[in-house]
Amino acid sequence: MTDTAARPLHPHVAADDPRLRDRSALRSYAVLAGLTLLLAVVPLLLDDQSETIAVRTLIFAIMAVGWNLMSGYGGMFSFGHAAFFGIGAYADAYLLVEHQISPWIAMVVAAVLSAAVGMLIAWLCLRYKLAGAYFALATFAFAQMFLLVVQNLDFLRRTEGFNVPILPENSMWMLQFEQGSDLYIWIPAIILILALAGVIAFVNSRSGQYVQASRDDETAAASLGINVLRVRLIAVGMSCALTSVAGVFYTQYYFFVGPEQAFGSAVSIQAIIPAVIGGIGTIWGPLIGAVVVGPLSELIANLLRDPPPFLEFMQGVTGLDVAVYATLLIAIVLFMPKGIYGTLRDRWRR
Amino acid sequence: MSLLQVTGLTKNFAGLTAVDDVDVTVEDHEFLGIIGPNGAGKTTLFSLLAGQLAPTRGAVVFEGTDITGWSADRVARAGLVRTFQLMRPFESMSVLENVAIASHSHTRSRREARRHALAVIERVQLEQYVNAPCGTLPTAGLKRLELARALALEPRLILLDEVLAGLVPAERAPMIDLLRDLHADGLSVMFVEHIMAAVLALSERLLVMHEGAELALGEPRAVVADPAVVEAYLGEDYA
Amino acid sequence: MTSSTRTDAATRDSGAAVQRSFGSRLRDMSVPLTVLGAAVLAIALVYAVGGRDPGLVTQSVVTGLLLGGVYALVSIGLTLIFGVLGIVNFAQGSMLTLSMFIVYSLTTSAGLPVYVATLVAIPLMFGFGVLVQSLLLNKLTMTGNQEGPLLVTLGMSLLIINVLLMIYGGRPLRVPSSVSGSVTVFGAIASYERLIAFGGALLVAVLLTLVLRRTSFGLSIRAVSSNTQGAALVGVNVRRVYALTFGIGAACVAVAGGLLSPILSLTPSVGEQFTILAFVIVVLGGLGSVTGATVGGLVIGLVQTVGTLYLPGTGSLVLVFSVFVLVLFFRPQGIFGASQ
Repeated sequence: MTDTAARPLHPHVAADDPRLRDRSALRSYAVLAGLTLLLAVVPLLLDDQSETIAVRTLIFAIMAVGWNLMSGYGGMFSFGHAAFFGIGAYADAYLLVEHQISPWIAMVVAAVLSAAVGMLIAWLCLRYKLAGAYFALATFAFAQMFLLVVQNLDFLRRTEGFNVPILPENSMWMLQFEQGSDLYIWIPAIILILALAGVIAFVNSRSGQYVQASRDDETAAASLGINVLRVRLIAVGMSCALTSVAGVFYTQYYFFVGPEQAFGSAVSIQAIIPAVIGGIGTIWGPLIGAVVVGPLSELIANLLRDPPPFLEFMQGVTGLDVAVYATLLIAIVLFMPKGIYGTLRDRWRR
Repeated sequence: MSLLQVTGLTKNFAGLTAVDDVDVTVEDHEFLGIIGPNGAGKTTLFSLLAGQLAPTRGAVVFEGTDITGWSADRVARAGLVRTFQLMRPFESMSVLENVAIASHSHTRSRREARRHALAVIERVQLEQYVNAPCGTLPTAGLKRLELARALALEPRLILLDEVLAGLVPAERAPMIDLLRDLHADGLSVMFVEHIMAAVLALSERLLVMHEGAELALGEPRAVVADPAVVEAYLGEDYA
Repeated sequence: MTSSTRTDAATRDSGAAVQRSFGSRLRDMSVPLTVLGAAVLAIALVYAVGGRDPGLVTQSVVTGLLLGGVYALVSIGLTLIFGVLGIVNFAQGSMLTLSMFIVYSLTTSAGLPVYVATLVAIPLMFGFGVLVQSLLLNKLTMTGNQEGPLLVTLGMSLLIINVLLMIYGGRPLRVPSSVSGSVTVFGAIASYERLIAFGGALLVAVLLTLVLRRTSFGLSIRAVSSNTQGAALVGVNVRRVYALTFGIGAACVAVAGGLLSPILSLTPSVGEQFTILAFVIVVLGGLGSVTGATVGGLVIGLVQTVGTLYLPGTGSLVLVFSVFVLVLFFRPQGIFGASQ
């Protein structure tokens, strides 16, 4: 392509030119290492009740990190991530209950299946360049569709769902331990760490740069030689695969999964809210958002169980926790669109 | 073999013929200027060549390969690159990162791409903004960024769409000098522009478009004196 | 988002005056006519070889059309909001629920008959819509932000549902009906309530189309939908048009909610199934096309009820979604959308 024998068009630049220095990847990995240490130690400090909050937070975090890959970095907002979480949850349930297959294998199956389904849906939407709102709508519809399909299929137990049989003893291969075991925190923590490592690597890779450029300006990206459809599908595949792994773990931890728990619209929202609150399109945003949202639900539930005198009329009321998230979501979008982490990061930079 | 051979290129939009049976050849190392009134089809022509639009009729042959109807990204990778009239920087990225996107067409390595990008940025004299976010760039800077990105692809032929538009006269001269320099170093250019001084200073040949069709093609002085061109576009001052 | 998709449909649908040949008009109608033909053919097939009692089939067709009319009404609001504002209102279903609860409160506490309560609910929901757009969405819409409004309407949807849940609890409520009895149409039973719902839906559709095409306000809506900058330049108060449009969308939903309230059992999440149906209808009909939403609503109503003959319960909804997937595959711009 280039006539390199002729006069060089550009001046020579030294590899160690100070203007090229970019420590951001290194910094991210360093933070990740710190996070790993923190998560290793956390289960030892928590009591049983807090452990359930921690697990819930970790599951939210994995889902949000997954969602953020295609919606934040890729700019393709998915409003139906429940579809992929559900594929994971049901793949695990079905393979385990009907065929006694290990959840680790289910993770691989679910990841491949979700990636394929996600990429197909994305391709259907993107090939006519109907992105944005249309795409969000389509993903929302597909998630609802899966919900209905599952509710009507016998081999997926219709509305009854699956109960995970309790084993007589701990098993790493079957991902089942005694209640309150620290492994229930360490395993999703490891998944999360690996996911974040993957995100850091991706964002700093050529594909990651291409995906962000495509998000910023699709036409310009294409005019610079980027195959926009292909890089987007890669982001979608990874996003769906990761979310489905969260679904697999969910079934293993809660021992039960039904259509609503797997494919309900509340699930899609659980993937979105932490990422938006923390900061869309950032590495740490989804995690920070999950840390805000996860315990919040528990706090509110406790508040309602035992309200202080001036809030007595609220006792036993359901729906307050979601109402609070929803308000938080709207407030963040209106006043802090870059999310908590995103806004802080911008301030630090100046 | 010519660098670019365009034959009978036509584009219809539901009743409006934006580009009408255009034939033009560009040789290696040439600087072809393109002028014409607004709506003459100049930008549409670029979009047809660079793959943003598919032609209704006609053929585009680039370095011996028929690239008619190829998608924009494929055309760019083949070495035919365009800039846009309305600047389209990647807002979330710095100047260096913007250009590095283009540099990545030759390498997967971030380090290599950034190094190459810095070299290009120095070439277009944009180095004072290297790590700045694009939002801080003035118009002149954005124009150079557009140019830098296109150059970072190491194109064989570059299509410049009104790269001087929006620049105040003091900013134009350095840009014209830069383009002259790049041309001298071996760059082949098709250059759409309204500023006649620049067009005449840089072009080796001149194409005039009017209502989608070719009005005149040839040596700049001759074209500019052509009465049809004067009537359609230039007015008496240039005759 | 390809803005050309939404503006073309909206502009064409609102009757932009362009002289076209009869041939080109016929070609434009080719897809809708094909769909109409396919629908008639499908129903004929069901009668002929469907293996179901003809009386039952007729009942399904009648109920489907009546239901479809109401679906159309919910969808019209959605497609209008999308066509003019570019916003996919994820809260459409919850706004429907809200309307139903307003009617419920008015009938139970103030003792108003249902249809009077509906009339009261209309300006209330209109005001709600105007407020939502002005306070929450206008800033984002004006800057052309795509994702912000999506998230805000999603949040709003959750907020409405859960506030209703907090106030009224989850157990199903019933709105007392004002009329009872039914009429026989071609051997099928059509309750007065369903007929009124259908009639109301069509009335609103016609009124809305008239407003869009004949009034100066309708003109400003069409102007904003087709070219926002141009409209602003000629003096249209774009922010006001946005707010009023959202208000109209909410008012449409208020009518639908009121008309549906005697028919459905009321819970905070009752509107959610309509959100997804409205989306399918709007995609089927073409984003931004009021005609498309009407036709789409009738088609989906039919698909659902006739489908129940073969796939009882929620199974018929799977058919509805299959329609959606097919549309995505073969004609994503919908029946009345502009060709790619």
